[in-house]
Amino acid sequence: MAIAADPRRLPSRATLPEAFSGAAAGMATIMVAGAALVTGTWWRAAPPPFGPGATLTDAGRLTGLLAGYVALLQVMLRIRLPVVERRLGTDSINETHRLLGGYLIVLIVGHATLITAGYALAARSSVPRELTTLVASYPYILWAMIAASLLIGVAVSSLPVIRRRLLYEAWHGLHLLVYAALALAFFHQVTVGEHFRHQAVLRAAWTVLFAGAGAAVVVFRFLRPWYLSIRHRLVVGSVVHETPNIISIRITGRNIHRLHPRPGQYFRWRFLAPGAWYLAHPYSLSEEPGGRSFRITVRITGRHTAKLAQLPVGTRVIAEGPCGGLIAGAGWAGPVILIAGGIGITPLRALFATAPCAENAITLIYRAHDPADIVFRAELERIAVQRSGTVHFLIGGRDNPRNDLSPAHLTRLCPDLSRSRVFVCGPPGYAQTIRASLAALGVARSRVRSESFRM
Amino acid sequence: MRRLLLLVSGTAVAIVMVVAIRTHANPPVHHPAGRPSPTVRVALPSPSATRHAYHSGVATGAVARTDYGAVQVRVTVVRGRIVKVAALRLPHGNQMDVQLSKPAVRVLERRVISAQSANVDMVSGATYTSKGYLRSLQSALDRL
Repeated sequence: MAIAADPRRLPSRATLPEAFSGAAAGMATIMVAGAALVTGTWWRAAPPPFGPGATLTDAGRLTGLLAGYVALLQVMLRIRLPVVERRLGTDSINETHRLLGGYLIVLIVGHATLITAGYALAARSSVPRELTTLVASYPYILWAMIAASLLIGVAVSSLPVIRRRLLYEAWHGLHLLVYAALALAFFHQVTVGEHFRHQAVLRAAWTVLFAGAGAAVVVFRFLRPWYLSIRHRLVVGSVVHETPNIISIRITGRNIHRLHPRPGQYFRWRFLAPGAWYLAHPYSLSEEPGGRSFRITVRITGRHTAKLAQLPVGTRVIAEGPCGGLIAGAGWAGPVILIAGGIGITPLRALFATAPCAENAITLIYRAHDPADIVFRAELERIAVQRSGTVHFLIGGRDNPRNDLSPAHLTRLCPDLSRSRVFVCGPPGYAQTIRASLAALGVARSRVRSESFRM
Repeated sequence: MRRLLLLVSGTAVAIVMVVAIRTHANPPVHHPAGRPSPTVRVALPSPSATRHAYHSGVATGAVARTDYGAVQVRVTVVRGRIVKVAALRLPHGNQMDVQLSKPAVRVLERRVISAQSANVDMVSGATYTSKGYLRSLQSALDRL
């Protein structure tokens, strides 16, 4: 049984508004171009091997080079580069990361298998004996094997079946081993790798790539959040209960506007208080940024969130971000529809106040299980009046036919749905239902942007 | 999962294709960029001039340095004919060098014995070993 912890973003099929569909295509292009470059290097930089097993060895070398490249891409997806976060969005990043994670494991296993088989044929020995020879007589191959085992372990722990049974902390801790694995694997690449062993220039280039990725991890995941926290003196300004089990935390600091979050984005917050400091969790800004403080709103669902309710004022805060792609870019002049499920209201609350749209054409649909779970009711109604927008509060679960967000129901709520740009935020099941309804109504995928979280 | 299968099978097909093309194209001999391309034949007196011209005996060639390591051979000549070439030193950077060199050396010995000279084609894919081997062999033959 998983410990239900905090709203946490999970991968889900992301769909991208116009501004983003280009980004996804751009990313795919970069990936394919890089793979082509790797293949070109493989072709040009070393002669094809000779003798029995040569074909297998040659294929194994190419597979290994591709694996190294995919590993670098994986790191780049995870370092929360602001431009990648903004343009791709969390769901798309997570989805790509999962896809490439499985792909990387296949490449690594393929590389090890092909090389061992190729060498075994060349040496006229058996595969198990060749494996022993590889480990015993080549530098760093043992390290590479340890690295491969670690990566396979991490991949297995991320399979939905296993992941559900793991504490977030355990899963996350395991995932950090990836960096150790990449460091271990690097050495066999430059000492044994046929393409790097003989060519100082290529070896240097590959080393720069890996060292650069390592440096980027340290800078973006560690130094930058700490630096920003110190420079902006981020601290907890207040903690208030919106409802008995939903709290809003206000984070104050100096010149916080210079962190440049967009409405709809989130930070990964780490509160340096006893019992809470070792976890960083994503919470969206539940208010349009621009004032002297940020507000986040958190549903208390577990041990960690319960501790957040008792954070003392003045607690030091480390913020990693801004992250996420629920961004309403300029240049949209049609209607906008925001569909929130539960605590998914937080980023949409900020977008409700700011998303550019046609006049009088912003609609918010907000479903919660219980009237007591509705937060920001007064604020939302005030914004609706100011922007001449509409708010629909839906109370109850999806089994209530007046509440089910079916295509017919959505059309009733928003007659001009097909011309609208749609933002969705809620639990994965909720977001999925809505995406299905929107698809059934013929709303272009490129106009829908959704992010989900796990309760 | 479907996308992963697509990606993996696409990659597998692509790898099989490029490896097959590379193997079949059998690019003469690849050299790291920036190095002069080697002549595939070692310039030597023509085979007819050298045939049966060796004194019988065993001679060890000079150590030929290649980019990948040293090569040295010992040649055995009986009644004016090369009957055996033994590789005393081959590039031993790692196991792969050994695996690359050994089959190449067998091919080279066969070619040398049938041509009765060091003026033979190199083994593609083992250019450096071949060059060193033939250089060392020539110096050994010069001593006989």
